[in-house]
Amino acid sequence: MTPMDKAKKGQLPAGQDSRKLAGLIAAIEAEFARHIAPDLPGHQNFRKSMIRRALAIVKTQLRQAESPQAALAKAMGCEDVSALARAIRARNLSADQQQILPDRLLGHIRAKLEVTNPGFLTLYDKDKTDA
Amino acid sequence: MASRLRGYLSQKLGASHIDIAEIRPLSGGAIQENWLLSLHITGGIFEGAQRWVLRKDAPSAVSVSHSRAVEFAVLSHAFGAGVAVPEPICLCEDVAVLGSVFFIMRHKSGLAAGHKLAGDPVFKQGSKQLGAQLGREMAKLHLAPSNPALEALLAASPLSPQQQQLHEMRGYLDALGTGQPVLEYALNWLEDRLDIWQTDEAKVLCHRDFRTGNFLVEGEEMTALLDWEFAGFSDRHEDIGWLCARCWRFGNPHLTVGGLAPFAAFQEAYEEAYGQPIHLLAMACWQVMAEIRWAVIALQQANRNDSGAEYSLQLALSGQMVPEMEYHMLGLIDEIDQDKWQDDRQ
Repeated sequence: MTPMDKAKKGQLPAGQDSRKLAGLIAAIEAEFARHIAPDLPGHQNFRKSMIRRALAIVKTQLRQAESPQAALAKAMGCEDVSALARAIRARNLSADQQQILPDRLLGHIRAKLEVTNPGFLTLYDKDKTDA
Repeated sequence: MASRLRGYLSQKLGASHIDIAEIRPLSGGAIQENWLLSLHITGGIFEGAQRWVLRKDAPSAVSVSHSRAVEFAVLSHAFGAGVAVPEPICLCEDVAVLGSVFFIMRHKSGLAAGHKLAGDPVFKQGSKQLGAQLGREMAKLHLAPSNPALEALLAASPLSPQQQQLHEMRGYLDALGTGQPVLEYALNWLEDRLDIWQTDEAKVLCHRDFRTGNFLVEGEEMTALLDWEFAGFSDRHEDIGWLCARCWRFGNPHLTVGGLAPFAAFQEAYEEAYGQPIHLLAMACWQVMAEIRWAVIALQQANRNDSGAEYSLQLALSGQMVPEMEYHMLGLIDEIDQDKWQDDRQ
């Protein structure tokens, strides 16, 4: 199975490698922040922020014991998210699965947002509270 | 580029001489390239100093967008209908000139960048003036009389716009080959609500990408609606739902109209100009579809990186935005089901 196949199934790299990878990412982040970012001209700010964001996503994802995709598939009793997606399309879920699906999907989305954009949850949860 | 362009324009516009003072790429446009041209023309109908924009395919052009020739025809149609768009100047279909088909339009001043506009203190509280103008301009577009030539160019599906979108989105998901449970759930939800989503109105010419980021704003005025590459005949609520989608509010979630304006000002101006009310539940369903459509586009962009077709951090990060659209999808679905949807009051 290739790394891309694993990613499609929601599997992260093997646990024993994750710590080393996290360390490597943190080192790249530090190197970039100390030695590269300060010398980049202002018109490269967008690229700087993209690199920082990508590194933060990888770092957070590596800290998770289980990917949100794998957790959702397990919670719904499916082999993986592709199988779950096919079952939803075909309207092949049991009554029990249908009942828990919206909550499980929301939990799945929130778990992904914790990785990709935690500030988003802060903004929208606050907006809902204010409303 | 400059000498070939000069030769082409001299012949096309009947000019005796053209000085090209400046050619530079404009920012934005992942799908198309836009170049600013500063010219001084001697002779012909455009004699004098001119600032124009040249638009051509970017290397990462997507197959679902129209060709430049079709986009030029739609732009010309909208200009003729009095919609605030840049004046179309000419279309060049001879690929020998610049390597791909391109067209030229008059440059319009203003800012398009969504985050910059939404962060401007003028828009942070919402501009009623801009909201009303967006309503009037959209109504003008939806009222633009059609003609057989345009209908032939923008071949309409025999399906309703709603069923067509469901069909297209599922097709795109199949092509991507990655399981997307949230999107599948939202598509089923919409399919189950065709009774409130579908209106019995005739299809009208829609921009289909009418959102903050695709129109220029100067002061509190929209100076031009840009990027007509996805235009087509659809339900007018598709445009309204897209403009008011939560994914296009750039950090101002309380401002329904593109994160820049309150809905009431838009609605009042639109309904007065169009002559019919907005069906709010249909609009809400189109908001759900807007989140799905943008999520699918983001997945397609990320797939270009992941597949190795074009390595780009920007494309890769697009895929990381999908949970944001999914969050909005489920939020809208819950609010509509619970009769708590309130975007018409924001």
